[in-house]
Amino acid sequence: MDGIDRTRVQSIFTPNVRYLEVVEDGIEAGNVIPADFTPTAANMTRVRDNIRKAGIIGRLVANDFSGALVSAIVLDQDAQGKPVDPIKVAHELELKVRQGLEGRGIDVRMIGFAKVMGDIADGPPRW
Amino acid sequence: MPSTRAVGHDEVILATADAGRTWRRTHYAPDAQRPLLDVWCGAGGHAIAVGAYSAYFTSEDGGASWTAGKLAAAPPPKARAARRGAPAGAADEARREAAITSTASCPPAPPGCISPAKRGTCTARTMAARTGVNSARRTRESFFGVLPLQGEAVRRLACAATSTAPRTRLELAEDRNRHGGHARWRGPLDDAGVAIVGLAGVVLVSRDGGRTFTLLQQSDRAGLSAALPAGDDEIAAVGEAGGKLISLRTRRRAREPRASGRRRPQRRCRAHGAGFPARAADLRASHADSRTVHFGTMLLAAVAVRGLRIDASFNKTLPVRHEYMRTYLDPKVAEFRGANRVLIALIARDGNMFTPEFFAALRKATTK
Repeated sequence: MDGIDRTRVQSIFTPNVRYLEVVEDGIEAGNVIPADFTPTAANMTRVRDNIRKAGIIGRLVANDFSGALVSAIVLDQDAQGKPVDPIKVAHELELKVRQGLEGRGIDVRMIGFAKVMGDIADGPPRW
Repeated sequence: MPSTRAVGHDEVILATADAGRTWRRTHYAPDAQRPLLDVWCGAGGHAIAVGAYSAYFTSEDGGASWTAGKLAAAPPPKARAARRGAPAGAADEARREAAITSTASCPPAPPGCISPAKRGTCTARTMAARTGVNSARRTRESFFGVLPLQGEAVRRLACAATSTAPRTRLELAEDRNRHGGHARWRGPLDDAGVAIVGLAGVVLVSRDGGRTFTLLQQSDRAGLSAALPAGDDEIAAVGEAGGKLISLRTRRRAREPRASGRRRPQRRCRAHGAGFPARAADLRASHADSRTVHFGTMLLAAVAVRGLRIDASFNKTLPVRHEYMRTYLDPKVAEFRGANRVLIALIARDGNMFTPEFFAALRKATTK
């Protein structure tokens, strides 16, 4: 998505979120979700442990493991050097993130300056 | 001579003698950093331009040369000067008062100040009488328009002054309370009739050269920014809700005899935010010409109103001159910026995020 700092997007899937643990032969570290992750029961347990070790409960992951965050930083200028329009960012978030993800047992909540601007620009919802 | 003046930002005054084909810049002062908001051309080459922060210019040669308004200032009231104490403060006060007095007293007779009052009636009162009393503590109020009140317009000039100045706001407070706004722009009907349009759909109509006004508030209460005469007892107005024709006929109107011996209607139009080179244009052209020009201006204004859009930027919300904000915006530390953040929370409705569906969705949200 344009206007987002890709290198600083944070969620348990991104490689900038790591865990660190002391083991018998030294220190072990790794991505919370390993690169070869497949959604098997064993891997789920491993990820749950990694989340605990990474100390991100309450920050990127809900206290009760009911949900998780994606944190992204909106840039001042996009790749072409043009100022980023927060309203456009908000619309893209709606199209690319909410649509297609919401439903099937998952709720999507979004906040941030860009989102607020988009909501204001779109006006009140039509009842 | 169908000559036209236009005024705008940076105190620019433009003149044309050929209905807008070529323009000449007769005054320009970008250093003053104040816009001119209206210009009025009277008989005998007399012209007056007014603008923000008490800008006031006169011309006696049809606008070829302009002089800043200068008058013998009334001395500041002694009590106030004494209360200020410090000599620098008193001098400052005197200077401010001088600036205001000079704009208020338009030659050769005291001007009237149109102040919308209770029940939509307006009274024209001389500002000269009020200057020493009320405006002393004002700093620099803005003039939004010049409007002739009677046939010999210059002699009865009204400076419709509205601004952030506290005393002015008091004057207009009652009207503001009732209507959510005060009359701000005007469009003359003819020399005896004057209409002022303003915020909250206010249309004030005077049939006696500005001494009394009748309020015709539009039901939609949408702000009006410009108006033009569009025939007998009708004006065409544009504003927040687009353009429309407004009938000025009132019940009282029938009992009032038409002012006899009225002169040729003076027509003018204003291009406000319509992509015109200047902010306010005052056109005096032949009867037939002016209709065309008016229509074009209205069209431009309508287009400009429709083209409004929200221009939002995160950095506009920051106090960019603050020391901390300067550090925040320093390109050297751009890596650490992160206040303009968007958070997307995915929540599993059954309270358990460890499902293949959730992880697929989270992966998709992360990679977008």
